[in-house]
Amino acid sequence: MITKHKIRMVAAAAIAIALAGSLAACRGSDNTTSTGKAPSSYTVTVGTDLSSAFSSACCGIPIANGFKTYMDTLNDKGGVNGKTKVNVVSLDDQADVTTGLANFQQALSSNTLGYFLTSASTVLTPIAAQATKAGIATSSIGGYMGGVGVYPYVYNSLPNSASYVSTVTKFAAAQVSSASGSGIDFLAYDSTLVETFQKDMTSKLNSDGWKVGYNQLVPSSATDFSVAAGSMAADHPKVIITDLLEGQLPTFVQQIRSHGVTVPIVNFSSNIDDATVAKINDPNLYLVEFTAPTSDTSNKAIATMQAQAQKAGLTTGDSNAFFVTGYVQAEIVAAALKKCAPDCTRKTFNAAMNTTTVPGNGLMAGNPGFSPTNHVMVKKLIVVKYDSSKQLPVTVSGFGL
Amino acid sequence: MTANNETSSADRGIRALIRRRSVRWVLLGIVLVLLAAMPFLASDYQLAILVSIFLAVIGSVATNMLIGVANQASIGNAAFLAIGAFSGALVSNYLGWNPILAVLSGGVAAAVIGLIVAIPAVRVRGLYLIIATLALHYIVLYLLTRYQGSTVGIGGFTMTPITFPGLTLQQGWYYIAGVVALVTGLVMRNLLRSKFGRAWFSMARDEVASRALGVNLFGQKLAVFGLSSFILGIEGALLGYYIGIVSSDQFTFDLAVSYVAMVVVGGLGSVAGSVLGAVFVIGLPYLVTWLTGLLPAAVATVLSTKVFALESLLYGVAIVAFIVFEPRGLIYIWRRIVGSVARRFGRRPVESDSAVETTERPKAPPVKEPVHRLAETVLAARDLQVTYNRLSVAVDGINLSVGRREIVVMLGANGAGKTTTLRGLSGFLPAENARVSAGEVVLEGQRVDGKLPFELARRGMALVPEREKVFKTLTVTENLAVVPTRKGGDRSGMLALIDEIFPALRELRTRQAGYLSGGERQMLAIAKALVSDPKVLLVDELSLGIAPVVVTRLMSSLNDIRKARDISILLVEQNAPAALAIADYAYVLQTGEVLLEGTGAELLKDPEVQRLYLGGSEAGHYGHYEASEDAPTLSATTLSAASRSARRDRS
Amino acid sequence: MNFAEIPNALVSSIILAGLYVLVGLSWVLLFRATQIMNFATGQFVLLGACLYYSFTVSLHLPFIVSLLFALLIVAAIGASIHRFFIRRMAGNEGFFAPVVLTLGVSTVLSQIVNLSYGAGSLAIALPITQKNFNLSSNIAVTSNDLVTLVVGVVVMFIAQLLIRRSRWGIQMRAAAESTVLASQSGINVDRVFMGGWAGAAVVVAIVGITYGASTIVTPTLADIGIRGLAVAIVGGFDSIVGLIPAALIVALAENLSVVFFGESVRDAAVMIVILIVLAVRPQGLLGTKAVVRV
Repeated sequence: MITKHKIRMVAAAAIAIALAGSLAACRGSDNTTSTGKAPSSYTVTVGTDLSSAFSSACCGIPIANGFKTYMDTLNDKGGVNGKTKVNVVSLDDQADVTTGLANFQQALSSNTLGYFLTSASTVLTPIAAQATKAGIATSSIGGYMGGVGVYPYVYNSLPNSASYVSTVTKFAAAQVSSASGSGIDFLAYDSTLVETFQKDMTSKLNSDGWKVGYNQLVPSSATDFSVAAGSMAADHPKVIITDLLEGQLPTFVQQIRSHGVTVPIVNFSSNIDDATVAKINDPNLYLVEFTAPTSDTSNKAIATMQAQAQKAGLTTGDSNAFFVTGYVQAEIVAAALKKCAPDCTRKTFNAAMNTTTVPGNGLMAGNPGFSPTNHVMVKKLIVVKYDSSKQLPVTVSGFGL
Repeated sequence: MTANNETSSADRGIRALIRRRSVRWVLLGIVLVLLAAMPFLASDYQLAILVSIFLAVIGSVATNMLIGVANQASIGNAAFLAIGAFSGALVSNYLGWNPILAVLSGGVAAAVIGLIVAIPAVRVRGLYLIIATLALHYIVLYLLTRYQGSTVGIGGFTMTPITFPGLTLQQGWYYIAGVVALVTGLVMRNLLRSKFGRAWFSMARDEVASRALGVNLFGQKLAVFGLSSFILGIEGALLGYYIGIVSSDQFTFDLAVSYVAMVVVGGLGSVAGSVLGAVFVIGLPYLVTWLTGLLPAAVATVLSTKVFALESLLYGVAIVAFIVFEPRGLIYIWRRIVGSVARRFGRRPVESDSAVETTERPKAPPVKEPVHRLAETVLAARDLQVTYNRLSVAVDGINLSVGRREIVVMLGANGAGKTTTLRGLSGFLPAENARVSAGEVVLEGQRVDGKLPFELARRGMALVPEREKVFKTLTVTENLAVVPTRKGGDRSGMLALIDEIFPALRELRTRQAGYLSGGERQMLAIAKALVSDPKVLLVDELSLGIAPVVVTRLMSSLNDIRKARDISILLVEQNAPAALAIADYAYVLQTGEVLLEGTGAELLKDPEVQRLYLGGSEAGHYGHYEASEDAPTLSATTLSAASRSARRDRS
Repeated sequence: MNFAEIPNALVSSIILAGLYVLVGLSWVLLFRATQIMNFATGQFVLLGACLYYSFTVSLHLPFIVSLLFALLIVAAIGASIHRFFIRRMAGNEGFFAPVVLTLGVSTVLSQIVNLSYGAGSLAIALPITQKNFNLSSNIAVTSNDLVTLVVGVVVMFIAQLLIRRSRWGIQMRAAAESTVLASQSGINVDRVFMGGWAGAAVVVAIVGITYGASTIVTPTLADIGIRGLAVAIVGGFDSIVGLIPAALIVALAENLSVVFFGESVRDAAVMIVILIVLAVRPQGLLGTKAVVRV
């Protein structure tokens, strides 16, 4: 009994000390401006967003890992200009908005130059509002947040709604002789994000002259699509557009095909692993992506990136499309740091970010980067389909890199 | 349930540390000044953490009131937060209400939904309430998502930011969240000490009993649900203003679980516990971030890609660890620290239940020389002491022995400790919160106290309990089949014997035990105990609820069994005459101790036993004693009076 | 509303029920044995699929060996939850503590999967050939559907047989009725409870493998766990047989609500079914008593 109490006491004391220590340690240094001397390192902060809930589990970690992998490789070579290392501070908001806000305060009160948020959650807006006041560059994958008033200050690492809509509708039109009067069906997973998107997509399709038939949002936990498949089969669409999740797409494709519908399916949720595409192995399934297929090591840039990821202890599965996004984002940040070196301040870094582009190098279509009037990193989307002879996803000509 | 007592004991500990009133006020003043000055001492980052903690404290206290105090297990916290946040957003955006009214409207809206939930909660309790509130969570969030999707979309509802002249955002929010958290905590603390708090605690302990005490269950449940969801609604609306936007995807099931985690980790039923829990759950990720920052660079690099998963893992581990190893939560640990500090400074130690654990009971009196009996001892108890709930000693210093092939009878009034003694001999499960706290139990020469009941059963100790004695949902055959045979036991022989002495059971093989008559059930219980071929058979209240004819037959069956099969029997019986007639030896228990002992014949003649059990001069009629549940019982007071006179006689 | 889809919805509900019945069985099995609702059920679905992936894809072991190994490990993990956590609980925390415990376990398990298998998706397959069977112009069944249905029926049959006839089953029913009496009767209740945990884990691990093979293994695979709770509530938490109509009701509620109100109501429809059952018949269709432990 007594020893048990001693253990409890020690544990309690340890917790108390640790809690006290954590508070004491949270005090960041307040030097927000740097002096004329070249600093030994630049600090950039990556805020990730991880929770066991799906909505954020998908993207936060891979983006942060991609970002870090690029910077680690850069630091191994000596850092920016071979002189100044980049200190990446990773903070996790656990998909909790107040935690995200607190993390951002740390970035604000330390000498962080930029805050790169990986989450798609609504934590972005308030952070961006505060960041703008402090002149700190922020980014997010929240490409759909164009309408909320902070857009010009946020560097979006994902394509925005308009890019998706135009690519998807253009590709769909290429599949039929005439869009006008052709039927198109739409099925996407249910979230406020996708619902916003669904509206944009539907109005564009209507204005292009498509006849939009079955148009539904399905919960992300749905496992059965047979009613949707049956309804679509009765609709006789020319093209089916989906925004289904990784775990839903295989079942949906199987069920729609079993109903004898062979028309093209265009999925645009942009996080379909190559392994999933290989498993579905459907000749008429097209995926709208913003990065090159990550398993195609004949692509030199992909091969280099994968080697670096492996060095960091990650598997091929870890380095998915979101990993590429983080990786490319880091590339842009590094280029911007190079521009404002040797003594970057928030102001000069922000200005540098505004004009920095990097070559796509085969990781992304076009030259990802920002301009003063366009804060969307990914300018062009690509369309991928599975090539069963190569056993690899390949880009579709006309919609490729 | 003991939160009130515990609070006051902690208070006493602090008082012991800070004895003088003036010192206390000065210290309190310093703490308050420090808290008030914090915004000008701490960085915005630290303030943001504190704001998160303060906001969480509000919800944690409200959740604890519902779960910890009133025992209404709800997991709908996030739904109430969402209702509050959306209500605040709607009235401020569409009706132009000011922030104070908007926040209050959040509370009211959540309270209204909370009251609606409370109505079925009067019927639905326990696990069903968890499921109902889980369903509520998903339905509310579905509706809000649909509504948001059809109106403002992913951007959510933008809240007009509250500005603080002369203060930064975090400094201003520190005061708002701090004051609301403080007020919530104080209101709750006082409420728990009021008649409401007492009603909720008693409702949590026993709904039926509290109803008998005059607690209006329906009203109290409405009150506790309404109040806790009101507070959650307030927090939700505040969150909306603090964050700047209200969006349905902020209110995940994980968020609901995190509030439950705060309550469980902090300590159920305690306001201070809710605060500690909020500090722990909100502070943990920052702690991990800080700790990983301290690691050597090489280790940090290896961890870097895994650190977030580890953080989440740690949170899960903390929940599991607290539930399993310290269910009383952080508040208990905190009180122990306060107590030990108080002791270190030489003040009066804190009185807490733990004091009892460590206190050695006074040594039992020297073992009485066991009465010499011819038969070799099979089962013996030496200075047996049984303690329930760590605190209450039910029997103390029991010495008894059962010889080979003997029938030993234990007599005593209700509450004398007969059943406890049998249970002490046959072992307890950890979940029963009872244990043999002193003395020893020896079975066939080996100490067996502290062993689990099934281990004893497999060593040859079979118990026929007083109440739950057969598995009612199992058939007669299954009741027998479920019992494993003792190591080296002769199952088929016993089955044959059972067939022989209980031929009635053969006809009832496929019947569920729940449909058997009292006598049939008792036969089955004895058969079930016998099928393992035990060394010792312990029978509690053989005659309970059975017709006298059957009792007589059972007694004679037992007599046959021990002769036929080398089985010793320890019989607890209220029907003293019938039992003593077949007993080789007998004990009379009273208030947890052995009062008298002797051979069956001796005790039959003992004037005390005659007077107490055999109805004085009517002793001769014992063969036809009306055995029913209440007939032969004695009140504890008569017995203790009798025992006093018995002791006087002896000395 | 698309009434022409009703026959299609009926057929697909039967297949969906084949999946749901096993998830429900896991909840009921554990509840019958230990009176605990396991909110980590979904994580065992995921765990089963991931382990099966390790053995078939990473280690190239044959199907049967992989299946057995995966189920064995999941069973061991399930049993150890009782052995190391539940058993050590003092027993006076009431019904709520185990719920929170399993919520904590669910976080731990999902992060362990996260750490071990990363963020990528895992493709697993059963040794069957893909085929479609068209029952009518708009009703189609795939070979994966048939496997789901057959596995559902077979596992249910085995479970019922085990509980009714096997020694462990009788011991489990005895322990469920009275833990103390069971232990006094010589039954090692901890072993029975560990068996309950192992069985519940194995049942959903099977779901993870069949269902994962018909789609792809990602963390969302665990979402199906909560559907089992709905099935168990509707059927009655202590009834195995009740699971069959319950799974059909839940699947029908889902698919028919889709026909009438659109795809997005699926989840909400299931939750409403739960509330209706709680309000009208708290003990479920074939349950014997309301699950109230206060």
